[in-house]
Amino acid sequence: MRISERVSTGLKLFLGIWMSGVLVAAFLYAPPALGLGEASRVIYFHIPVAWVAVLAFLVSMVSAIQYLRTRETTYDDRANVAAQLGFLFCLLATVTGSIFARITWGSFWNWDPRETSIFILLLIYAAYFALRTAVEDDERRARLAAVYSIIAFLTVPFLVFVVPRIYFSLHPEAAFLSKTGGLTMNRKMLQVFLGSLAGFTGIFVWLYRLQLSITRWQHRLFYKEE
Amino acid sequence: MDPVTALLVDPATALYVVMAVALVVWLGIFAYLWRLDAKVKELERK
Repeated sequence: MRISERVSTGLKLFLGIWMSGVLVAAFLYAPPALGLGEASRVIYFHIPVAWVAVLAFLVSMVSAIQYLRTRETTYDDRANVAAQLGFLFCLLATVTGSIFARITWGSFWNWDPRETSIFILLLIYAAYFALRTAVEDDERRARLAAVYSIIAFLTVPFLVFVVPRIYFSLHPEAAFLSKTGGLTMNRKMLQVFLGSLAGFTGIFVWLYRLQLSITRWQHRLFYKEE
Repeated sequence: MDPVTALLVDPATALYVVMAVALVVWLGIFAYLWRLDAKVKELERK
């Protein structure tokens, strides 16, 4: 086994142990947020998956720009894989948020500005996949998808950070964020939160590399069959 | 309510039950990814 492979295997094993530790710490080490009760522990999963979704959409946009500059198909694959993962993590953020909404607001979905904006974001990226399946020609599909991916990402800062703050929302930011935007968590909560953020980012990197390898294998098999 | 269900929903143990379920889900996902990763590496070696 090569050294790089050993390091990669070691990192994955470390990630497995790290995330297990984060899970245990989220329930047994960190205290619940004031006024939100035990359900507030969802922040150690909900915010990191939302962060990874934004990161993945950013990677998708950067890869799309790279594709338009170089016309190398590998960048189209990267943009597609990152968008797939972004969609998955965005869906996870929606589900975890919805569960929290059920516990604190009494209903899974009530078209709060936060819920509406994430729903629109999901629709925007669902359209990206619809676009990819609608065009047969590889080069044309890659070009159109790249342009769409760039435009789609321009909506992300508005839908994730701006719109929910313009309108009145029940989303409990006040429990974790100060008026100036800084974190108001206590030390234990912050430790678990940052640990979870690092862990979920690690999971994204692993999934991204894995899915990219699988996509390349699919291409090789497809062209072999042709 | 049967004793097992009563124990699972008891506020004193519910936190541990949720943690155990979350751990099992994570370990399941991790094992799946680990196997998938090994299979892709095996393909690349061939």
